[in-house]
Amino acid sequence: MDSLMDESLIQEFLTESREHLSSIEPDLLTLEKDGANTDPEIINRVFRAIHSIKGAAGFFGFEALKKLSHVMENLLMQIREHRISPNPAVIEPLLLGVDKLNLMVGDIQNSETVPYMDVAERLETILANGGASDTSAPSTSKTSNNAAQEPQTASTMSGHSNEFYAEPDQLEGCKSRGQSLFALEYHTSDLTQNQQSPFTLMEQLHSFGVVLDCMWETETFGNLETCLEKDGTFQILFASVLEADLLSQALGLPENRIKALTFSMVGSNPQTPPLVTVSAASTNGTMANAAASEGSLKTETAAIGSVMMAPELPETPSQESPRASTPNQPPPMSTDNSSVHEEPKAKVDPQPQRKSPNPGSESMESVRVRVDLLNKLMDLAGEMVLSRNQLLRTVSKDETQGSGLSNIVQNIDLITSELQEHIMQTRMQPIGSVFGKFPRVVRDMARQLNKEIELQMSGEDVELDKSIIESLSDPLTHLIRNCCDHALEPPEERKKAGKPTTGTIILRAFHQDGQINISITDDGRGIDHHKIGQKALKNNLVTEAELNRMSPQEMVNLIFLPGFSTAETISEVSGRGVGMDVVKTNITKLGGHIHTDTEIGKGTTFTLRLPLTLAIIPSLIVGVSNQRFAMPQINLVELVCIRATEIASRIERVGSASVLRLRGKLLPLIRLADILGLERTYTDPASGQPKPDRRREIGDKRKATEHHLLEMLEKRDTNRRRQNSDYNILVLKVGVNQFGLIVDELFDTEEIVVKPLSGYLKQCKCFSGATIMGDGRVAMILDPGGILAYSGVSLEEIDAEKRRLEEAQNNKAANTTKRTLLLFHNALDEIFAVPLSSILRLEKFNMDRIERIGHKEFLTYYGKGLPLIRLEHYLSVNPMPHTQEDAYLIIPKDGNGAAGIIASRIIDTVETDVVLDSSLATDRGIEGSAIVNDHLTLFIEPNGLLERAGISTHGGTHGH
Amino acid sequence: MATRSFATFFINDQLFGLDILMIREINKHLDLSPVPHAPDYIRGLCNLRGQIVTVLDLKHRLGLGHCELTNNSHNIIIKTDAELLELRNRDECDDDTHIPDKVSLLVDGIGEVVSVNDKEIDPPPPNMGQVDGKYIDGVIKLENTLLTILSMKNVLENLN
Amino acid sequence: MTQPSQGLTIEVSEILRQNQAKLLQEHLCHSLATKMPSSITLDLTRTTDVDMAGIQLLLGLFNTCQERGLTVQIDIASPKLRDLFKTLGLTKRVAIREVSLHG
Repeated sequence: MDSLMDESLIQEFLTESREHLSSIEPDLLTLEKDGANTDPEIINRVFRAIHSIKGAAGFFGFEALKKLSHVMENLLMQIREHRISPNPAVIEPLLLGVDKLNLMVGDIQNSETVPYMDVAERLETILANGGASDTSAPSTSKTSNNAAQEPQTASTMSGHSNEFYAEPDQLEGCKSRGQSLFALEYHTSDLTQNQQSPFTLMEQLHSFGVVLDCMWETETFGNLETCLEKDGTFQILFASVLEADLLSQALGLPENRIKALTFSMVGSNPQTPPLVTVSAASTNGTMANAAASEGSLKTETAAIGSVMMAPELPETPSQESPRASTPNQPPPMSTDNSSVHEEPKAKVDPQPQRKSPNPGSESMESVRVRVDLLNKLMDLAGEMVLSRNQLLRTVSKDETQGSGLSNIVQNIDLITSELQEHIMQTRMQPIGSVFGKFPRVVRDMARQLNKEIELQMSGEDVELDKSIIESLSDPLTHLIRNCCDHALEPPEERKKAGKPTTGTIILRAFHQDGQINISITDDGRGIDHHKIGQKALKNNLVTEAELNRMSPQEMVNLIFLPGFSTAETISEVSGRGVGMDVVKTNITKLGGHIHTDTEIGKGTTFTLRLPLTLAIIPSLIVGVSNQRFAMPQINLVELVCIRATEIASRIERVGSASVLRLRGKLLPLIRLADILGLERTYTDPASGQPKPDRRREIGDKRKATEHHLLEMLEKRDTNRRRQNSDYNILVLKVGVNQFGLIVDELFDTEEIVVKPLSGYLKQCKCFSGATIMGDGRVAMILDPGGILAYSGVSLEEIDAEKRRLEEAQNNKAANTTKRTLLLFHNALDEIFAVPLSSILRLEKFNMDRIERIGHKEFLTYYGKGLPLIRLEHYLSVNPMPHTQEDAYLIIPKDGNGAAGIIASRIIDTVETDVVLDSSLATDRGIEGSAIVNDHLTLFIEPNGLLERAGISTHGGTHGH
Repeated sequence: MATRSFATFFINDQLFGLDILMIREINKHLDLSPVPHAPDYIRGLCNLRGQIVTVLDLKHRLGLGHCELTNNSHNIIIKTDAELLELRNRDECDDDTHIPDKVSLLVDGIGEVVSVNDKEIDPPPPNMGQVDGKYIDGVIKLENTLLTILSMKNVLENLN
Repeated sequence: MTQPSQGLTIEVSEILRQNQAKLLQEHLCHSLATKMPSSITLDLTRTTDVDMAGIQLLLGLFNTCQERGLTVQIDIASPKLRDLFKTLGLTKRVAIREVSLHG
């Protein structure tokens, strides 16, 4: 049996321990919350989980693991017995213990090096104090001292198990070694079929635990004449540190033949049935047998009269389990011990009578599969898909033959798709496995930060590919921690803001459009885009000019820039040197996007959009320079084909980039050949620069490709009439941004199997992986995010330029930028606005100071004549009243203080993000109109106004 | 005395060898897909029965220029860590080069398998021509030529 | 040995496995029917190897003896066998006498 003691058994143990630990944490949190009212089954579950970890740890000789779990088990036992109440002060060290156990299990070979004594000591202290001080427990008539209790439990046990028999000290010994009790049911045929001798059976048993007793169901053995034909049944009372399922593996005994008789629970836990009930539950026949054999055993032992080893104790099962109609028992020798002990407990925990003693029984329908095996299956399914693709390709060529082949191929096609889908499903895991750790995270954070935080979760059963789930843990943790630390306010602050003192974080997972959405919503203070902007400015991540052009959304998105999260914003609690940029990078790596919605004072929602799986993805195959590449469909917004004749009108240059005008939007263009360095075959190798005449020559010679698009953009006038050069542009999205990727050729869409890139290729950021195409060749999978980063095209720059361009060109911007306006009157029934940022100076002056030359008006201002502009002179608006004595002088920045606009009265300054209606902007000098504070307001565009007044807006000179 | 076997191959006209334990298989040159932005010594990726193999240009790695593809070109496919695990567990392979995924070496041509006693392997002479000494584990004098044994570790590791 | 109410002692071979168990079974059935002993002693002092069939036979014998009110005693010498019988709880079911081979 030594071979079973090998790595695979340890691995099994580790896997199981991890599962146990992940289930313990939420249970402990419930225990902390519900206190003494906690469902006893939860306490039992935690207890069993720790117990089985301890047991197996002892079996494998992981001392630290064993010792810590042992102390935890002791404390949990006291909680179960209501001797210590599960208040936060008790749960805290238990949680810390779970952390330590996680560490140990995580790296089992070094588990001895994990420091745990501090936690163990805390637990010991509680154990030492708790038992003595806590008098509220219902059944403290007996000593609640741990040591004093054990022999009693043991004797209760022997009282219960009338059939099995063992020395109390032997039981005690088993208990102190962390062993659990089992009844193993063997049939003689088990051994004869395997040609196993009783000796080897005993050897086998001894290597996994201790045989305490053996109970022969004598009826099943027949008499002397029939005994060799009978399949006799015997039960072995076995103590082992292994749990039932491991034991089943180790002994090769079916799990339904192993009954757990957790002896420390006997006498206190009515749900743990005594053996008679267990046998009865297994088969109806054996119960009668067991009962009968019990009787016969008694008569016989009495007859032989030699082997009794301890006094008989009363049989209790008949008292609490009416259906276990055991034959009459001898009158109890001592009634006080067991009945006093039993009854109060039965009241505490009355309901789980019928529950299966094995909590994992609902998972009987599943088996554990090694991940590498799954991955191999996944690979094979992938290869099958490839072969299918090849088959389809070959057959479609020969389809004309009209054989029955195409039907068969169609079948294979369908089956392959289904097979692939199902194998993929085996890799799917509920996201709950990640969500599960957040209650603890939030709880710990709340305690540390002295905040009140409630975490609500939904959609834990939404399934995602295993690899995605694993990579999600860190980003989500970071976001949750951020919420606790930065977003949610302390209770006092929340109270002042009229919010409930408890902050809420809502974590949701849900399907949408074939993708998984995960949202993290808080009702905290929201993200102030101004502050973000200022901070980004301070950290030199943006320039002031860039910032001024940014929309609030763009400013909020600055938090995702590398270098934004500096030591200042990372508190000790939430930050581990990881910034939001890492969150974004991780999500992007998974082919996902992150989106932020925030409202100051109300809260923030981060939404992650993720693909369901990474392994097989539909992709568009594109060609550049005779090489093929795969572009995941998920990144593809649309395909645009630009005719050569349209190039001039559709494509233009903005700053350093070329952009495509697409439905009123400007889309930055990137040429894949350029990015991949594949353009050399098409350009003059000597100069690296294409020559106009050479381009013309190529254009004449061959069917033109788009390779010269960018050069053409630069010199599009000379190339305007080029023929036959259509451009294939993939419109791709990376997060909220989009760009166009120009490729040579477009092929079909294929389902491709993603293979990770070799470590040698990690530096190739433009690719997310590789795949094998239908024709067997390897193709690289393009990564839009990487391409965009590599291109150096700044989407923000383009966006900003785009906005400015649109404003300047159309003079009618659907401008939603939030800005501060100066509101003023000219005629008192009309309201005007001018952006505060465009004003150089604002002064009150006396109308008497105005001087006139011809029809022009001036004001002597710092020793110079400042031309004055009256709105009614240039715009179709009402004149300001003549009666006015004082007026205001608005000097715009445009023209560098070269002129002043007269306002009759200043109303206010407001911050607004109104959308301008340009229908009234018929005059140069008016940007548009909008309703501001319930009044129609005309927006002045100082630059246009000055120009109309004949004042140069470029120099500092006064116009005449 | 332990006997070791070496798969031999040519770079230019020089004969090199690698321990045959480390070699999964040797193939005629497979269809290569170049990888843009890859380091110079990466010739590309190829498909080995559904598995993607990264092809290294051994000639370039040894500082002897670029391998030209001819009819004699071969790929020497190296075992991965997973494939070597059993050998290493049995202590039958003491080479601990980290080979996480499938990689092959592109060579000009292949020779025969040479088996020699350990003691016939000489330390590399100080002057081995153009090849940097760190890539060489030893040399074996054959009848009419010299077999240069390459260090798998230095050829495959620390490439960046 | 033919008188009733006499103790019957049966020597068992070194190995008590399927084949020997069958022979012993026949022998025991025959002896019980013909000799009608009041007690049976199985002499397993030479026996060192038992398989499941052997154990089955012992249990069948116990049952029959119990039905008929016969007492059973088993003599053993092999420590290995003794340990097995002990862990199998047979020592509780039947009087087992340890015999020193040299005694």
